[in-house]
This record gives sequence, structure tokens and C-alpha cells, in this order.
Amino acid sequence: MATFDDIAVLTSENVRLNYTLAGMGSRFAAFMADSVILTLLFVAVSSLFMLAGMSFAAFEGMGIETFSILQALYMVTVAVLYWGYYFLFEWINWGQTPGKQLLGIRVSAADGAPADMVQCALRNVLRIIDLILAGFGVTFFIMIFTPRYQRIGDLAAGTVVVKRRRLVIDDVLNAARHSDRIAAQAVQAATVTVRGSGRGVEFSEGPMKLKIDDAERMLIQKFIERRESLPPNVRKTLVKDLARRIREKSPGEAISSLSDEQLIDTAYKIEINKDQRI
Amino acid sequence: MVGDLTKFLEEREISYRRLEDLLNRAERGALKRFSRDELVELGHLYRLAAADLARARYVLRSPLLAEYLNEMVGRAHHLIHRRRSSPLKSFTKFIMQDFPSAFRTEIKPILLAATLLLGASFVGGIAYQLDPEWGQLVLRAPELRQYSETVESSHEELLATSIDEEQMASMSAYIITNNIQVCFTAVAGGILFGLGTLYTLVVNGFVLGVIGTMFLMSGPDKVLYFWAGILPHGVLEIPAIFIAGGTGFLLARGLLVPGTLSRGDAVRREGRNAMKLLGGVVLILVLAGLIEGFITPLDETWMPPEGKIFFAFALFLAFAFYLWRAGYRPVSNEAPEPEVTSTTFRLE
Repeated sequence: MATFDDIAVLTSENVRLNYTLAGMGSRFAAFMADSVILTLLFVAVSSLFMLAGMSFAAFEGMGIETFSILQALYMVTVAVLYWGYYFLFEWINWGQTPGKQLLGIRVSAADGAPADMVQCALRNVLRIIDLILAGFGVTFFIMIFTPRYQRIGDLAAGTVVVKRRRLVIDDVLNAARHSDRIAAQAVQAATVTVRGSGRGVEFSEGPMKLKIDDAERMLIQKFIERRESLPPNVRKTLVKDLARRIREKSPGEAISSLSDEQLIDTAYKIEINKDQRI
Repeated sequence: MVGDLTKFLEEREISYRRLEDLLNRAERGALKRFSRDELVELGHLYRLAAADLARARYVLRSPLLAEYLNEMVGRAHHLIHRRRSSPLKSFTKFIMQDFPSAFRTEIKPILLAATLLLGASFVGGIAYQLDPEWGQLVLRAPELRQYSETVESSHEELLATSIDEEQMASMSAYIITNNIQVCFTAVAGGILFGLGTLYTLVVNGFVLGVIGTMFLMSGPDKVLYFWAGILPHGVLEIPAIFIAGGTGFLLARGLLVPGTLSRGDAVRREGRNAMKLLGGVVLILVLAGLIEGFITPLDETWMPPEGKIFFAFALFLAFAFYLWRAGYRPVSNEAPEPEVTSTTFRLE
């Protein structure tokens, strides 16, 4: 179940939660998106203040005092944007800046909870250092060599950046119905193939013995759920690898007469029949 | 059987939808407005989802359902377990207790920063006295221009031409944002084993010394004006830079002298106090900037230089008393608050 990029958290109720770490690519993309958004905000704020200044000057002739107050507001706004953008968004918006939201990742404490105020402050004060060091490539090395892809700010604050996929019940239901349909079709297809080989093997009964352990079970399940969304070449590769794993463990003529993908569907059917009890 | 997962999901659909809805509303801030029934329901649904999470993993073997429930259980868990008091209350507590007691706990690194900055400014002063031309040359060096501007925020102009009242607002904003920049850099520089902090303190101190000496040597009649022009905000601004420097050293201490903790844990522990101090620094700088923009430039009809010096003196005493005593508890018999027991481990 756990892949290399998972972190697991045991809550006080003894529930284990898994989180998948965000990759360097999506983090960098989120950073770029945030940079673009910040730049746009700067431009917007600047032109807004310029417009305000110009209209003041046009309508009532701006005194130096009005100008000064406008200037002060501008400087404060820019400073709040510059120092506060990441901090405020991450603190208030459950660990997500707009860029992170776009890329489906969020900042979290090492225990999976949303990062608290102190953590958001610390990781974002240290952002300057990470940015300076990134100029020499150091930040990327640090992220690669820390086990959870943390930059200096993350290390100091004890935060990680994890993926966040917002699923709703409909996604799960649709996927389940979809795999039901496919499994049903596959069962039919497999039955025909096996019968056609002239041996009359009923795979749902004894003769088709498959030895599958938990790892393969997970792989099969995940493959069935994902397969329609895979690019054809990836799907082909996965089918080949997966079928080879199954064949190596369970040799037999009945099995060798099935095509790779039929074998996987069959295995899925048998496994589900075997121990699906609630 | 094929279809078991679907059947299970169809059974649970209503409950899950309800939990999704409650979570979405709670995260948008509606948790406080939940009725008693809704809170109880949230608890029930949370436990249901947690139990189903185990089923999804080990019985139904559906990674997608497990992922879905994992996210929901996580969200519900954090809603139920998080501690969040009202912002106003925690802000008052921060000012009246957290910041001053963090200051008292971490007085050592702050004193170290103060010593460094004052020492550097002493050296700067001597250097200027030995060779004024060289001192001025130093100030004009391009790398130091921003420092000479930020640390003493162009007192040269301030004394020479005293800003017009109309420009006070923008001056004040400029000073606040610049000082915050210097202080943030000093704090962040701590993570480079303190070298960044050291650099910021020494450079700023040196420039401060040169500028100070320049004014003190410019003639006895100007000395009063010099102090009147620098002290009202300086009594807050200079300590703020000390505290920021100390905060940087705090992070460095976690790295360099972790004690029994691992370096990472040590930095994270120091980081807690460090962020309290940094929050205080920002507030002090805002106050100092307001004083610098609105009180320091007042001309003699409004406030004579003696008055300003008196104001500065009183402010300093009040500030020192605040740092010394606010939120002070003589002996605390309280047991430390137990941490929420979440253990984290990594699966390979």
C-alpha cells in the first residue's frame, strides 16, 4: 500500500492516515504559478494606486498630503503582499496558496494536520534564504537529499508539502461501477477463451489456481481502477509487467492460454470472489 | 462478489455525502454555528468513516475508496482536534505574555546581538574619527547604500531639511517597511549557521556608528537636535534590531548546539520562540515607524527637542518595564500542557 513517497500518520484514535508527498515538479510549478499571480497583483495594485492618484489630481488638485497618504498606503499594501501572501494564504486557506491549489498540493505539519500559524510564519520567513540558495542550486540539492523533499524553511518549521486530491463520493462510485462492468465483461471473455481451448476449465472453481499476494492484489486493484485513464503505451507496459508477475507465480496451461489483460481481469474476478466479505 | 464494492458504496452514499457537506461547511468557518445535533453527527460520521477506512484497505481492497476516506478522516480529525482560540484573545495574550516571556527566556542571544551591533558601531565611530573621508566613502559604497538608508533611514535628510508635515505618512510607511526588511533578513540569516545574522548586524552597526559620529562631530549646537531626532523612535527601533538579531542566533543555536535533540528537532523547538520574537519585532517596528513618521519630525512649536528627549526617555522606561515584567509569573507549579499524541513515522 505504501509507496516510497507516502508518509503515514497514526492519530490519537489509532487511525492510520496516509499522505503522498508532493513531487519537486509540482512544487516548482506551484511556485511559478504563485509568482505569476503575485506579479499580476503587484501590477494591479500599482495601476490602481496610479489611477487613484491621477483622478485625485484631475478632480481636486492633489495636495502633497493626499499624495503622501496614498504613497504610504501603497507601500504598506506592497509590503503586506510581499511578506504576507504565502504566510496568510497558507495559514488561513488550509495550507494552500492559489498556486498550490491549482497544482493540488498543500502544506501540512509532519503529522498531517494543517500547518499552524507559527509553522507558516517560519517556513515563509526562511523563504528568502531558500530563494537565495536556489540561485546556486543548493535548495534543490537539499530537497533531493532530505527524505521528505523539504526545503530549509520546511525543515525548520517541521512541515511537508503533500498532494491533496479532492475526491467526492461520486468519483468513487463511478469508478466502482465501471470496474464492475469491466470485470463482468472480462469474466465472459475469459470463460470463452478457456472453454475454447477445449479443456472446459471453469476458472471460478478449482482448476485455475492463482497465487497472488497482497502486493499484487493492490497492483491489480489499482490497475483496474486506473486503466481507462492511462495512455495506451503506459497501459500496455503495465499490463505486460503485471501479467508477467502473475504468470511467474502461477504456472499452468489454462493461464498461459489467456492474453495478458484477460489474465489480469480473471485474477481480479477470482480475488474478489474469494474474500470479499464485509 | 463482483459488485460488492458498489453495493457497499450505495449503502454508505448518504452518510458520506452528509460528512462531505459538514466538513465543507466547517472548514469555511461554520463550525461555531453548528447545532448540538450536527456536532454529534459529525462525531458519528467521523468514526464511521474511520472504520470504513480500515475496511476499504483490508477487506474491500479499494485504493480509491481508501484515498477518499483517508482525506475525509484526516480533515475531520483536524477539525475535531485542533486548538484555536479567538484571534483577539490570542493577540492580547501574545502581547501581554507570549512575547515578553519569550524575550526573557532568550535574553542571551539577544544580548549577543546587541553586543555585536554596538561593538560594530563603536568600530565604525572610531574609524570615522580617524579618517572622516574614508567613513563617508564607506557610506557611499553601493552595497551599503541600502543599509545606510535602512538602519538610520536617512537621518541626514531628516536633520538637514526636517520633513514637511504633509509627507509624514509616506515617510513613516517607508521606514516601517524598510526596517521590517532588515529584521526579517537578520532572522532568516540565522539558518545559515548565524552567518547571515552576523553580517547584517555588523554592517548595520558599522554604518550606525559612522553616521552617529558624523553628527556628533558636526558641532555642539547640533548634538541636542541629533538626539532629539533619533531617540523617540530609536529607543524602540534599536532594541527591535537586537531582538531580530537574537532571533536569528536562536535558529543558529538550534543548528550549532542541538544538545540532546537532533539538529532538526532543535531548530524546530527554537523556531517556536523565534517566531514569537519575530512577531513582537514587527509590532515594535510598526510602533517605532509611526513615531518616526509623526512625532520625531514635529518642529519646535509643537514639541521642543527637550520634550522629544523626555518623551524618548519615558517611552524607553515603559518599554523596558514591559519586557521585564509583562506576563511574569514568579514560580509556575503548573505541569506543562500535554502534547497531542500523534506519532509520525515513515513507510519505506
